[in-house]
Amino acid sequence: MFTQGSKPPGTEAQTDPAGAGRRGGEPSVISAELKVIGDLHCAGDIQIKGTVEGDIKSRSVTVGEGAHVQGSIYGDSVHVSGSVKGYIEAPTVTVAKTAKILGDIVHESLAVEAGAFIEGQCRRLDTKKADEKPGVSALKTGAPGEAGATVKRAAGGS
Amino acid sequence: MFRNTNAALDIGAGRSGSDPWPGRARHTVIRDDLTIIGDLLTDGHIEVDGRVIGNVNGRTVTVGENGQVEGSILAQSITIHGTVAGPVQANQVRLGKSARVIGNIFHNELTIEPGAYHEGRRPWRPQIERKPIFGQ
Repeated sequence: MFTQGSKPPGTEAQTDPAGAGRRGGEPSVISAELKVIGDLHCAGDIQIKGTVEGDIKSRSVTVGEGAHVQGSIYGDSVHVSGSVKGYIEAPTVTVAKTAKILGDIVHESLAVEAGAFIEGQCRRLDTKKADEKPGVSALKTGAPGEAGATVKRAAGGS
Repeated sequence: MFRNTNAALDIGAGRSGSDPWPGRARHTVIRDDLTIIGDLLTDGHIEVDGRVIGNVNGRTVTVGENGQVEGSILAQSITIHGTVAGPVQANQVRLGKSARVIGNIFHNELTIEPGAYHEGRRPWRPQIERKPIFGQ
């Protein structure tokens, strides 16, 4: 009962019809030579090996070695082996030794390998929710209007 | 645990299949559950099965049957099986039978399969210039 109550709505894969249909499917890949200026919304998995200047909302996000993300990452599980400049919010966050993170990490379970570079606050998701409204519930809906504003900001900053 | 993380990374890298591009580092795949609101820039190949609201610039671009691009596409060669709303510019442009393109197609060589839908002009160009993004 307690566990269910503490789980943010919409984080389970079952609640997302598109994600449920593609469970175990192949992830989207942002290759090493690709630069995305804008936001990514995904019901499934994303592997980033290139550069993303914008926010990422997905079920599972893997930031590979050599990848750069400048923006926020929201997901159910986030693995970071590359460089992230921005906010990370996910129930499960895994940080490999090659990672370089400049920004806060909000998590329920955080694993950091020895050697990882993290500069920012690490907070618990439930503590954060007590302070403010949960941001994860907006994860799957991905309101385009809201994201459009971020695109402009990201494009203007580059 | 971290070994698992690396294994997850290898899924894409070691993926076998009908990939015409052996250089995996240059191959980007936008699956059907991914929406990108913004521009994509690469010197490699982009496969769009999802949705891109923005411009796409790559060496070669394939828009799959489920793919949707709302914006311009610039590449050396483009194959479209899905939906594109915006101008298309490439030396080689190929519209598959399930293609639906609304916008002008600037091309040097154009192939249109029967069944493809196109609304717009199809101006021929001697050569479509596309500068490398990363200056290579």
